[in-house]
Amino acid sequence: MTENQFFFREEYTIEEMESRIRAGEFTIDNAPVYEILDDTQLTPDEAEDAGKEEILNILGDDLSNEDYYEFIEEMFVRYGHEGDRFNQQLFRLPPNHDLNNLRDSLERFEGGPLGQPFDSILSQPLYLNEIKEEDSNIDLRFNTSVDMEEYESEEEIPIQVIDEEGKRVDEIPEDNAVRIPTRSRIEARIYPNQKMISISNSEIPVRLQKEIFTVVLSIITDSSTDTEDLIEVDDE
Amino acid sequence: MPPNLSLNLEGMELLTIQYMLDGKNTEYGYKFKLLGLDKASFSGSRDEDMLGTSLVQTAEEAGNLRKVKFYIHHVESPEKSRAVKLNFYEDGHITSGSEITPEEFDKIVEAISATKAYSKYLSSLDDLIDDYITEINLKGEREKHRNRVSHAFEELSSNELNVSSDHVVDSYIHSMVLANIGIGLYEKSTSGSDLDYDPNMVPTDWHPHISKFFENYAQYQMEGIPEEAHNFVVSNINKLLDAVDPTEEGYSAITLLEEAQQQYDL
Repeated sequence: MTENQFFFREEYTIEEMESRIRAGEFTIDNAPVYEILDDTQLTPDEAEDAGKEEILNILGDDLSNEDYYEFIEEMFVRYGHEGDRFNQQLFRLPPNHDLNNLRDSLERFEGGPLGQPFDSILSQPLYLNEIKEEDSNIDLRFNTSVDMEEYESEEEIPIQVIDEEGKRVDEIPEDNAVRIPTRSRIEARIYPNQKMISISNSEIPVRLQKEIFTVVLSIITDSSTDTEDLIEVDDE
Repeated sequence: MPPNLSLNLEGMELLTIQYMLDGKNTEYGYKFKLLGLDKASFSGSRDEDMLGTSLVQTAEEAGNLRKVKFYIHHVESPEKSRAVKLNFYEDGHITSGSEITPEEFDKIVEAISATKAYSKYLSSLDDLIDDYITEINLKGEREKHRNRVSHAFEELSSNELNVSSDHVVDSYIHSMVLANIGIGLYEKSTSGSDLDYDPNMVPTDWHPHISKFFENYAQYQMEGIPEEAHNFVVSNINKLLDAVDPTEEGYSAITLLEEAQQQYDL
C-alpha cells in the first residue's frame, strides 16, 4: 500500500495491478489468458498447471514490455480489485456551520506551507497540496515537509540503485551513504452533508492528525457566516 | 481539539452499523468494568449469528461492545464482487482488511451518519430493562422477566414485520428500535401535548410482556405519566407497524425510526 493513498488514487503501477488480480483468475477459462498463450511457449495444459507467479514470469520473458503491460492492464480491468486498504479516523464537524463555501475558503491555503493563522496550531511545517471535489464531498491532500533520511551502504548488503522496472543499475560503494527525501502524506475527505471528516490514520502521529483536524476546523469556523452561530453565542 | 467533536461509536451504534451494512460478523470485542477483567473478544464464523450465543449474550449483559469486525459484500461490477472485512472501533477509527473503493467508503460513512442521527433510540432492550429491573425483587423473577420481554419483542417483529428470529442481529435491532420508539412516545405523553389515538388501534393480541415492559419502564423511570399514556403508546406503535412495508426495497429497522420521527416528531 502506498502510504495513506486512498481518496486520491488515480492510477495503478504494474506491480499493483498484478497483486490485485487473484491467482485463480490466471486460468485458461478467462479469455485474456487463453488468447495470450499464442504469443508464448506455454500450451493451454501447461498454463492450467502453472501458478500465477510462474505464468507471469514466463509471460514477462516471452512478451515485449508493451504487450505484457497491455495483458496485465486488461486482466486488471476485468478482474482486478480497485481501491485500497484503508485506515481512517472519523471526526465530527460542528453542526451549525454552513459548509457551502468551504472549498473556496480552503483554496486560499492551497500550495504553499500553511503559515498564518495556523502557526499556533501546527507543530511542524505542513502543506495543503491538493483539493478536489467528489460528488458533494471535498478531498484534501496534505504533506509534511521533506525529511532527509540517511542510509549507509555496507559490504554485505550494499545499497542498490534501480531503474523504473526495478532492475539494478548501480550500487553505492561500501561506507558511502545516501540521503533519501521522505515526507508523510495525509489525506482527508470532508462530508459536508453528514458533517463529518475522515482523516488518514496510517503511520502518522496522532498529534499531526489532530492538528490537521484543527486546521480544517479553524477554516470552517472562520469562513462560516451562518447566523445560527451568532444566536448560539447569545444563548443563555 | 474540542472534545465534543470526537466521534465515538457506542456498542449499539457499532451493531447498528453492522446491521445497516448487512455485515456478516466475524468478531465482537467487549469491555467490562469487572474486577480483573477488562476486555474479551469473540470470533466466529460469518455464516452464523454469534450474537445469539449464550457466551456473547452474557458479555452483552455484563459489558459494552467496543469493536466489531464483519464482512461486507463489495460489488465493484457484476464480474467483480468479493467479501471485504471491515473493522470498527469505539473511538471512531475504522479499517479494512483488503482493497475497497472510496465510493464504498462513502456508503460506510453514510451508515455511520444515519446511525449517529438516531443514537438516542439505540439503547439495547437489555439496558432498558436494566433501568428498572432491580425493582423486581427475586433474582429468578428478574431473569424470567427479562427473557419474557425479549421474547415478546421478538414475537412482535416476527408477527408484524416478518423478521425471522433466526436472523439474530435483525431481530435484536428491531426489538431495540420498537422499545425505544415506545419510550419516546411515553416521553411525548408527559410533555403535555394532546394524546390523540385511535381506540381501535390499541392492540389486543400482543404478548402481554410488551405492555408489562412499557408500564414498568414508565413507572420506575418517568414521572407524571398521564393515565391514557399506555394506550397512546401501544396504539401508535401499532399504527407505525401498519404504516411500514417490510417487503419494500430498502426497508430496515431504521425505516421505523424515520417514520416515527416524521409522524410523531420524536
